[in-house]
This record gives sequence, C-alpha cells and structure tokens, in this order.
Amino acid sequence: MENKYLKRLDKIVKIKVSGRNVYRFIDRLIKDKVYIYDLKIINIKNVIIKISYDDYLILKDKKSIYDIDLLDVYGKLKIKKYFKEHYVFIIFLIIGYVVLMFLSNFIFDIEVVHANFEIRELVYRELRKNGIEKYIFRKSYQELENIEKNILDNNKTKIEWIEINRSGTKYIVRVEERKIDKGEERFEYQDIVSSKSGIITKVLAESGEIIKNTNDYIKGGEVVISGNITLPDGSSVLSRASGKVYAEVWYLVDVSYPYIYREEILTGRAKEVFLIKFLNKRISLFDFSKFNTFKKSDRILFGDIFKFFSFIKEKQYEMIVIDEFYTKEEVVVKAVERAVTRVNDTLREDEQIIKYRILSTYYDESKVNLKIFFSVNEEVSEVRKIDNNEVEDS
Amino acid sequence: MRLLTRLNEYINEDSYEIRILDNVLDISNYIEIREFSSTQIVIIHKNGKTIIEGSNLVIKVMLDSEIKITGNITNILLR
Repeated sequence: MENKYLKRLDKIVKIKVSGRNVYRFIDRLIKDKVYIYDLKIINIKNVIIKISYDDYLILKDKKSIYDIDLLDVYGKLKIKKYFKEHYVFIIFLIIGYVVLMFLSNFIFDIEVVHANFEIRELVYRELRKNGIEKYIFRKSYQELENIEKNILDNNKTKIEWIEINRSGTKYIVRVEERKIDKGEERFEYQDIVSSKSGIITKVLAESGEIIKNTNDYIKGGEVVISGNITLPDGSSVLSRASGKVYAEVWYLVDVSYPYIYREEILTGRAKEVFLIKFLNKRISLFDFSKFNTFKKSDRILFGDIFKFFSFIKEKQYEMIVIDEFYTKEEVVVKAVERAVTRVNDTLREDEQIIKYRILSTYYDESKVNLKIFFSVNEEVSEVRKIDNNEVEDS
Repeated sequence: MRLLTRLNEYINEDSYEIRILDNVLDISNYIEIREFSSTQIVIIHKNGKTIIEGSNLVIKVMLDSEIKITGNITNILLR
C-alpha cells in the first residue's frame, strides 16, 4: 500500500509542454515509463504535466522538438525553495527565539527584603556561597529548596525563616530574623536610670536610694534610684539598686492610610493540586473543592515546552481578601486606629496610652497622612553599672 | 493458510482492478500500457488485456501500478 502522506514529500515539478501534437509526447512518456502525477490537456499543442524532478532533468537533457517550461515545484523542492527565499527571516526568527529562551531563564537581579542591614548583608553572602548571584541561570525549584535549607542550617541563631521566590528575571528573598531574649543585666553595684525623657508617674524601689519622685521631670540617662547610698553619718556605701520606674513619655507618630484598602489574610488552609498549564490557561485536575482566592507556589513537574505547555504541582494557600473603600472621615478613623494599634503593640501589660491628639492631617490622591501626638505611661527603668573609680574620685 | 492468503491479499492488494468513477477510470495493478492514443488505450494485466475506447482519452495519472484515464469513454473491452 502506498503512503499518500509520504508521497507528498516527493520531489515533483509542474511543467508545460508545447509542441505539434502533445499526444505523441505523452506516448513517449508512457514508453519511457515516466510517472505522471497529474496531466491536463489544454489543447492539442499544449499540456501541463506533473512529473518527478529526476524525470524532468532527464527530459530536459534529451533533444526534443517539444518546449518544456518549468511552472512550479512541489514536495521537498518547494520546502527547499521556500527556505532559500526566506532564509534570512527564518534564521533571525530562530535566533530571536533562542535569545528569548535564554533571557527568560536568566537572573539579572537579586533583592533581599529585610529592614536590618546586617541581616541583608548576611543573606547576600550566604546566597553567593550557594551559587545565587546576578547573571546566572535560574535554579530549579528543588535546588532553591536545598539552598534555603542550607542557609537556615548554617545560620540557626540569626535566621528564623527564609524564602526565595522568582519574579520574572529577579530573585526576591524574604527573611525573618531570629530574636533571642538576652535577659536582664545585673551588676554588683548599679543605679537605676531613666532610658527616656518624661514625667515620673511611679517609682517602685526594691533597694537603693530614690533620687527622683513622682511628677518630677527626668531626662534620658538621669539616675532615679541610686546604688550609692548615703548613710546617716554622711558616709556613702555602694549597693545594687533595683526597682522599676514608670513615666509619662511622649511620641509623635506619622501614619498614613489609603482610601482603598486591600488586605489578604491567610486562613491556614492549604492543599496541593496538579494542573496543566497551556499558554495562559490553567486547568486543574481532580480539584473538586476549589478555593475562591488563594496564594500559590508552583513546581513544574515536566513540560514548559516552548513556554506553551507544562504539567505543574501547585501548593495553594487559601486566603480571604478584604477590599474596603473609605470616605475622608472614615479613613481618618482607620488611620488613628492603625496608629493606636501600632503604639499598643510596643507596650507591655502594665503600660498604657494616656491620651493622643491629631496634630495635622494631609490628604493626597490615594491616602491620608496624619501626625498624631501620643502620651504613654511606660516603664523607663534601665540598669547602669556604678564605676568604682568614678565614685572614689568624686 | 487460507486466512493468511486472504490477509496477504487484503494488505498487499496486488489484484487487477478497474474502478469507474465520475468520468474517470482508475486502474490498479496493471503491467503495461501497450497502446495509447486519444481514441484507444490498451492495457496489459496479469490475466489478459483491457481495451478502452472513446474520444479525447487522456492518461491523467500514471504511476508504477496505478493509472487514471479521463475523457469520453464509450467502450471498455475485457479480453
């Protein structure tokens, strides 16, 4: 059985034969066992025939009273002809595609997100040690996981958590610092001093001599409970002062709040889903209880063929999205709430906000900016070592 | 064996066949075109010959084992 599809790839040409009687020409073709793929008689003097390219070359070489003109080519010859005519375009298309593939798998920048400069520098150093820096090819999901684990294992005392995400041609690294409580400092001879300026609201002295009392104004660093105790006979003796000092301290807080507020809250529910990605379409498999809104992290299992198709394992974290639109009055209330929450978060159970007052309000296109004055009652006691030499000199 | 023979015949299709389509004669597994003109074409096959008569006869396709003939076909003689 012939394969019709492979036949199309044969080298076939369309020729026009002109002469006195084309039937004689056809007769000659039959005798020479030349294959005819198609034949169309225009008139007794002209015929259009499709034959193989090899037969055409033989006919061309033979002396004949018939005129043979090549009209068109088919099969492999046509493909070859097309490439010859458009080779520049095709070459640049291929080069462009290769460059695109190359660049999209290349990393041009790395950003570590953390407020502390030392932590950022530490993470940059660790990333370099693990082969992550600018102008490298992107790493696979598994390699990134291994690197994250390495960095955490080598910096257990400083880093609580690290995550490396790719965003386009950039790696964004998020870090959480590990904070260790140092504990209370104790010296043999010490004073209790104020860490901040304010008005004393309460002094709870366990030992030592009270120098400043309630409603006294104090500056930061001033002694409130002294470890240098003066005896009735006028002499002094050193001791370890201890106690707590509370004072009314003042803060100026800058806060802003947008008119359109969006918050994403993770519910804690998560699941893994397999899905097929084709161009921009994502088709999940066996996912019968879909999350309405979620954050995701993808892992490509196979595919990514020419960026068209891939089979992905995706971890989905359900989240609730809050979208709020505020009037000017409402947004001021929200901003104040945010500032109060922020200040309260820094206070302990025995500390509280006494009062607050909005000093200035500024509205811009997207948000409101407030300056709020806070008066806070908080513990300001701090331990300071008494230097023996200084005491003797005095 | 008979089944194998029939299977072989079905796959290889080497029997001489004439199919008459819309003004086109499709002939498979011929051996030779003995004669050709605009009024008569003689085709030799395994078991004899076929004479096609008419006017404006043309061999539209001619391959190793298949030919197609068009034109005004008036007679097909099987000998």
